[in-house]
Amino acid sequence: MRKNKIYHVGFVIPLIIVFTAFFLVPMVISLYFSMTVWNFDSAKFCGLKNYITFFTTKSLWTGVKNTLIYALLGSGGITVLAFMLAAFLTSRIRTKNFIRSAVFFPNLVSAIAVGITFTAMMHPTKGIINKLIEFLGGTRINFLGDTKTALFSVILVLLWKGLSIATVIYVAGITSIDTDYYEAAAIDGANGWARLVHITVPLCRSSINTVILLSVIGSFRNFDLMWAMTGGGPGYATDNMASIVYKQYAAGFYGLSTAGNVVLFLIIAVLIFPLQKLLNWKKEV
Amino acid sequence: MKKRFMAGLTAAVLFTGSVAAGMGSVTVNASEGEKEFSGITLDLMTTNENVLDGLNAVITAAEEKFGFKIELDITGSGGEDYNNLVRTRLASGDMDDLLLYNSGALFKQLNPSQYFVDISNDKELVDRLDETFLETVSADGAVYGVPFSSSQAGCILYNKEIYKELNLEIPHTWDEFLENCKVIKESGQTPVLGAFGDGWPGIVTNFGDYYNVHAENPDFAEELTAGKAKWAATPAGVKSFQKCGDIAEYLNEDYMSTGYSDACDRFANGEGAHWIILTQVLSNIYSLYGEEAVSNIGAFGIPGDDPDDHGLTVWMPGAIYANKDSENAAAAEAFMKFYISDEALDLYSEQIPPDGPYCIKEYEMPKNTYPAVKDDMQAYFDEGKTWPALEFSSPLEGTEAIALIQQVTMGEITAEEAAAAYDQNLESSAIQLGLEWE
Repeated sequence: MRKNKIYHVGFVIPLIIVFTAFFLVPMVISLYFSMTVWNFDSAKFCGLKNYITFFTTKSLWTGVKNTLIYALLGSGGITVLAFMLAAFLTSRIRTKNFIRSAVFFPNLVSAIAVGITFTAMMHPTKGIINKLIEFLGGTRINFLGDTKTALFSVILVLLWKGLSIATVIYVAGITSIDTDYYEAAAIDGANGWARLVHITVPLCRSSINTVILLSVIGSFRNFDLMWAMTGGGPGYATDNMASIVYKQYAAGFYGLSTAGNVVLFLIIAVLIFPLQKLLNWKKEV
Repeated sequence: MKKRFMAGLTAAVLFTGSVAAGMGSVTVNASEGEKEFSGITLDLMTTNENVLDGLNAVITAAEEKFGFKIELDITGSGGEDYNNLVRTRLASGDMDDLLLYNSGALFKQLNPSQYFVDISNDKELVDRLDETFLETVSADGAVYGVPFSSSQAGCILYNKEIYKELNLEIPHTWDEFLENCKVIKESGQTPVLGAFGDGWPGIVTNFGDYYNVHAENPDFAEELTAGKAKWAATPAGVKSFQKCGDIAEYLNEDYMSTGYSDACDRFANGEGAHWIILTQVLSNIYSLYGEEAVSNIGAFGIPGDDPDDHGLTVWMPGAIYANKDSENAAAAEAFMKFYISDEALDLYSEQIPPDGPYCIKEYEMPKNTYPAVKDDMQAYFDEGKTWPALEFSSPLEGTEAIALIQQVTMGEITAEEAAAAYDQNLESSAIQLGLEWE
């Protein structure tokens, strides 16, 4: 028995070392530094002052709010739209292979390049999208220059880019479903919609869970795309926690930005753990 | 065999070099064909937002004279991203031998004594520097940088042709300026060009108005640093934010998506009657569109309420600093000293005329200076109606100026709210700098 235990521990030790060195230790250190005013050669303890500053600054709250909007709309959109795309791509259509590669293509381009391209396309006077709208007789939309539309414009591009991986996961999930189920249902007279809702959805639940988790985390971490498109502006319209922490860091407010990172970590932890529990619970039922 | 010979030669060269340096010899050519710093390569970190034609000319001459090679390490973008990259590379010990970076508040936040070579021992060099500039590259009594280019102003550039066409006069109060804008708008042209897409061009309206804030309270900078003066409690300060809102109705439709380079292009081609911007844009326009385009541009300071006190807010140039940890620090210092010699300044201004007076004592502005600088800006200097921007007299620097000013311009918050939010933002800066506020 004892020998057995040691045997197991031996296998886990390398992982524990890596986990401790690169995750636990930095986490504890950053917890300490978030309570100091530090620069690269000295640190002065200041208690919870950074956290108080963080939570009393209006713009920082905007960041928290926007982070949640990104997560909700971004992951919601990806989960639903990618499922529809995948259902379409696994149906009997001719150019299936071509469309599948086309859907995956956005994922191969770097987020910065996507951001710059869309910024140019969404330009209020010179962008191709507005040229098209004008040609069709509509009025121009100031996609990224207006606080009312900027956040949604970024989310739209986030969806365009994020759909690819989710679709691939769904396609894999759907194609692994045994065709017998569909045949049996068809004999019983179930139409396409019924087959989709009662066979495809329940049987690829694990893919759905994966997509939800990945897209929530991805939307939380969204930074590069938004930064390339708007830099957080106009005003604070598209700022999220990550960009606010980055701006504090860039200004040299190291303690404050560390505190922001701890807050970001806590928010993600508080939301992701229950979410994971919830998703797993549904799977067991 | 060949390798060994080269190694020997290098050693010999290095030895002669160090002996020459050790003796404090001024003559550069130790012997025929062997120069003081032969075989050394210096890297210089900069961004592509700087106009580098002048720097390149000086580098060619310096390489000829000293024997070292200077390679430009040009990072993609400027602004906040560059500042962040500089901080990161300094912190990780990955800085080049030479660095081109802002002077004033941004420089002082870098903890200069830890990273840069103190050049204050070289009296001859330091004595050449203008006092106002000297202060912006000094920290705790030590001096670290030499000016990269001429000084410049944050002011209103105007299209002379449009002014002539509509019979407008240079405004001396803010209200007169807005009147002019109205007339221009009625003529169907864009009164004020906005380039908020890049962040910093949008805040010049506020930061360039500092002359007027200083005119109202001459001790504003000191009191702000000490936590006694507040933007929100200073009428001229609130007015500086208000001006960003006042121009909103006169901006081009796509001001929020227009970047700096795009705006340069449009302004040079006659779009927009005014542009509130730093005069460095003159060099950009000169190097891209030539003399004719730049001659059509005039300049005046952002006016306040008093027509008799119409002044100009001046920006000190960025500076070149030498990395303390570089093994080639001596060569880097020699380059810095050469960089501000009359010879180098002549070479520099031959390529790029200055955007304002140089920060070097007793160096006259060259003949090819732009009319906006020679005629318009110089008048403010002659009358003594100039003052350096706030960032050169206070180390405080907030993170939120850009976003807040964008919000004022879009009409989302009032100037008072923006000023109050900026005060709060500066408090974080004070805490980071270790300033004791009550």
